[in-house]
Amino acid sequence: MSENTTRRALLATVLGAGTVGLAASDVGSLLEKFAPLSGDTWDAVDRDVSGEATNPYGSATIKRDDVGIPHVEAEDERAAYFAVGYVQGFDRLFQLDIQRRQLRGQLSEIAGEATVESDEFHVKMDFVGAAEATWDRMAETSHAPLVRAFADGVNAAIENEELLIEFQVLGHEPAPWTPVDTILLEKQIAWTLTGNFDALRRERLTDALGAEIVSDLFPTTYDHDVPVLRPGDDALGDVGGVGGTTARQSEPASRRLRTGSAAQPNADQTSGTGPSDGDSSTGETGQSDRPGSTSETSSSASDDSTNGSDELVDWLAQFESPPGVGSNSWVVSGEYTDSGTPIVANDPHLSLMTPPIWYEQHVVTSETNVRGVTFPGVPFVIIGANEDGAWGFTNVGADVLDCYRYELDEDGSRYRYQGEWREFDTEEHEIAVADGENRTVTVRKTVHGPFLEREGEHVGVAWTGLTATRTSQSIYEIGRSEGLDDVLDSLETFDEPTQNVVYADADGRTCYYTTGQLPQRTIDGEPVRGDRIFDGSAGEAEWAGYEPYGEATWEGFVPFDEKPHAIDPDRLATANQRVADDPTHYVGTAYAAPYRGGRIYDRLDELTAEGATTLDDHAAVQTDRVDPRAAQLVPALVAAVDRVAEEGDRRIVEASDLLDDWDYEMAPDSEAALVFARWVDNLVETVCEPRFEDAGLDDSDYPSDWAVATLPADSQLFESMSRTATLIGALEATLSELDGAEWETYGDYNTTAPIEHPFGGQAAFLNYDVHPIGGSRATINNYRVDSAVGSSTRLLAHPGGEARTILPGGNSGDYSSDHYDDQFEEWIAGEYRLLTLDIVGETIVSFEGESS
Amino acid sequence: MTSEELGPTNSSENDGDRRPDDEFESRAGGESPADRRDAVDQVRGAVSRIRTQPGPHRVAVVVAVVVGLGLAWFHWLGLLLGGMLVGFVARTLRRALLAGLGFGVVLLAVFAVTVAGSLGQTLAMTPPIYLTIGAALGLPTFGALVRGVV
Repeated sequence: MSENTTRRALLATVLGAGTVGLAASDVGSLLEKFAPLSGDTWDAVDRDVSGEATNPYGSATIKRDDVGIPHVEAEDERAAYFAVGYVQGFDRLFQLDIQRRQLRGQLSEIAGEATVESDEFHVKMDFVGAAEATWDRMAETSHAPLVRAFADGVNAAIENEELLIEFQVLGHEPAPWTPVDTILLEKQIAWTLTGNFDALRRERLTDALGAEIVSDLFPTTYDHDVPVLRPGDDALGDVGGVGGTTARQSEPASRRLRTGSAAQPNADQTSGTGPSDGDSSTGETGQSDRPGSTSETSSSASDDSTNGSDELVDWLAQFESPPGVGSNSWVVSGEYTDSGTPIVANDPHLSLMTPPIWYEQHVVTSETNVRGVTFPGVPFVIIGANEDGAWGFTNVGADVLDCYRYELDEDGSRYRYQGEWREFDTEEHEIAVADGENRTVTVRKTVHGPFLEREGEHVGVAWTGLTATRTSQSIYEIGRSEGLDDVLDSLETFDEPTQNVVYADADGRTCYYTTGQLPQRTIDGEPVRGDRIFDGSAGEAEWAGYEPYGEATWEGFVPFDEKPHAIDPDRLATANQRVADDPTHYVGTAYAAPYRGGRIYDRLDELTAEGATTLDDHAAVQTDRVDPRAAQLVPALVAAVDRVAEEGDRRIVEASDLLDDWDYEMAPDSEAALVFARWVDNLVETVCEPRFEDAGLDDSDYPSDWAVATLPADSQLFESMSRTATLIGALEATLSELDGAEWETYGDYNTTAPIEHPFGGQAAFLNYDVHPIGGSRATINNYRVDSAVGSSTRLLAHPGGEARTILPGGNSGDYSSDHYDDQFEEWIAGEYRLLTLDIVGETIVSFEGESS
Repeated sequence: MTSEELGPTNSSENDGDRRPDDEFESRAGGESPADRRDAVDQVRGAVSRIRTQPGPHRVAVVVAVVVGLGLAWFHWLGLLLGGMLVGFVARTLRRALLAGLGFGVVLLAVFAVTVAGSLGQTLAMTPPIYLTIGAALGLPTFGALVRGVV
């Protein structure tokens, strides 16, 4: 054999083996997606919506304005919502699909092992069953055809249009969209806002830390005087749902509240005593449901479950509301505005992601002209404005999830209920896992709802969202409302989630209402609160009229008129703080610290005292970055440092001076803001770490900043290190930390990096560019760098008049669209754009009715 | 061994190893060995012309590029085949490799035109875009190694 032949053979072998190797390896599948010209991905990079399409419900048009907002116009409402489904399906289909997968427990089918636990939880909760029950109930209502039309529109977009790049990258196609999927997304947001297992967590903390420390660090009521319905506030209008039913019947609600609070100022000042003895209608003193008694109650239900359930709590904690979820909203009447019409402000603090959690749309039909934001997959505007009004929502923090323990038989296959053994309602469910072994999950339910187990521990769950709810109808009707009376009618069917609604109409009427079904519980005929674990076997504190995965009658829930509310307030603000000091009925305990609520009220009081306010004034409030924690803590730190200045480290003194000269604004270019932000975290750690670590807890269990900031100097948490020494020690830790960090100013640390696409880890190009940003977890202009939660949209509106808004990113979920991130920098800078009810932009799709 | 050394040995005129042709002849049947040898020589002559004569060479390169782009439009293996085609008509292996690389550059230019509306976003698609560019330049060059075989 010649040398040439050998060389040729060698080259031929290299060529052949290389080609086969590429084709057979992972590189081959990557090349199928990303090879130039032939890669599947490129079809999705230059997408353009079809100019014409067929609409089975009639003609319609979609115009898109200069920031990508779709303006849908149709005579027929079904035709309009078909078009809404179509454009949402074009712009956000991947988001729809991912969220649907999450609730259905189908994420692992595309994401693999990493999401198996999430799928297991969602399957066991059977959110699908709840959505199906809801759809069954609403199928005959007037707006159900619109939900169907919306689903048809999404499916038409799936059929007609190029899929988003994420589908190409992941290599899967979406299943057809259904009305139940839309309801599932409503369940998802309701769960995000109200799904928490605080009773379980509190029991675990009490077991680990003791009742006294838990009382200090995790008070069920924060000590402050700025609830939503402020005692003594003359600007609240007619107040109801507070002060006790008897009192309400005898005099106007607003006066009752003022009288009650004057007689009993700061009734909940005692930390940990519950929502004041003003809530005496529960027939329960605050102390009676302290965590100690909780454990006692649960022990009667099951001896296996009395010593805390770390594995169960840790598992469930992954699927609760993300830390920091909350919102700001306020309303001022025309009394306090330059135009003489009210102003509504709202900025919900939800997960910040790429693309944004909200989708903005404008729908004009013969019935309505409504514009605002909705969750992709939901047809109707949720927060927004129409020609007659404007509205917004914040989370209440209400207690709408109860935990039960049961007596089980020896092999755990039956549970005791009211004296007899019952079989679980059981179903096997298979979870598909990409590149892994499929899992079979046993879904078990009791009379109360899902039965969740982990490592031998269990909990039965009742949650208002697991029954058929009417919120979709309510949201739809608010969008069509023609004034306050219509809205109040609509709110009666707003079953979940529990929300603070602020509304104002073009006639100058204003309103605040607590929405959502609030369970009433009784034991031996006495009302009790819900922040404990109940004995499920005894049928303790069950919700009358509640039917999990069925149709609730709601007879055992707080009547609409008795929920906290204020009609025609001149000035009212909500920021997830306590609704009222003395609600007629128990509402809940998961309230936010009053940092934002107090600051908003301070700003509004100041503004309205000066005279008429403008949208600019309210924009300044909504983007306020002054951190109330600084006013609460920095003077104490400076004083502590001054006391030891002589013998202290010069750097400590310099840092103290820096903070002393600071205006408390969490601005990106502020060095003091950086020191403060890190100092607060170090302060919480310095206070908590020794005891938490000893108790087997970690920083995910740490209390709120407010709880630590208000700890008295004689708290047992300062036994080993005084409060003064703790403040200074935290500053020393901060300076050491900053020595080793690359941060010079707050914006170096506080960046938008956490605002990621769900698959941004694998495909970083899908993430937004990273920028420095201001604000903190305690500022009105809210941003949590640790959990990517913050102002997920901002709305300022004169009902029927000028309005402004902004999104944290862009309205399109199409990576290659100009509107993928075109609002991001404006949002960071605290800027707005106009929100008008005029149809503007270029026509992007003309729908022809099938019959025409 | 360099590619320059390999190049001349691959030209048909100097190639004494005829075993593939012999195999072809053995299968051909009816014609005489001399006729068959003439036919093979004609093919070799044609290949030689398109590799060495400027006019036919240009035409061959253009055809190879167009066909290669067409194949690459449908499947990534077209990148390899395109490289093989432009490599095959090159005079030497070294020129084949350069031609493969050149084909990749042309292909990238065509690709840029096809995504012109979103070129910025496409180029920002890191890291996948590195694979795209690497495949565009690497696979045709790799395919052009075929010139070392025929």
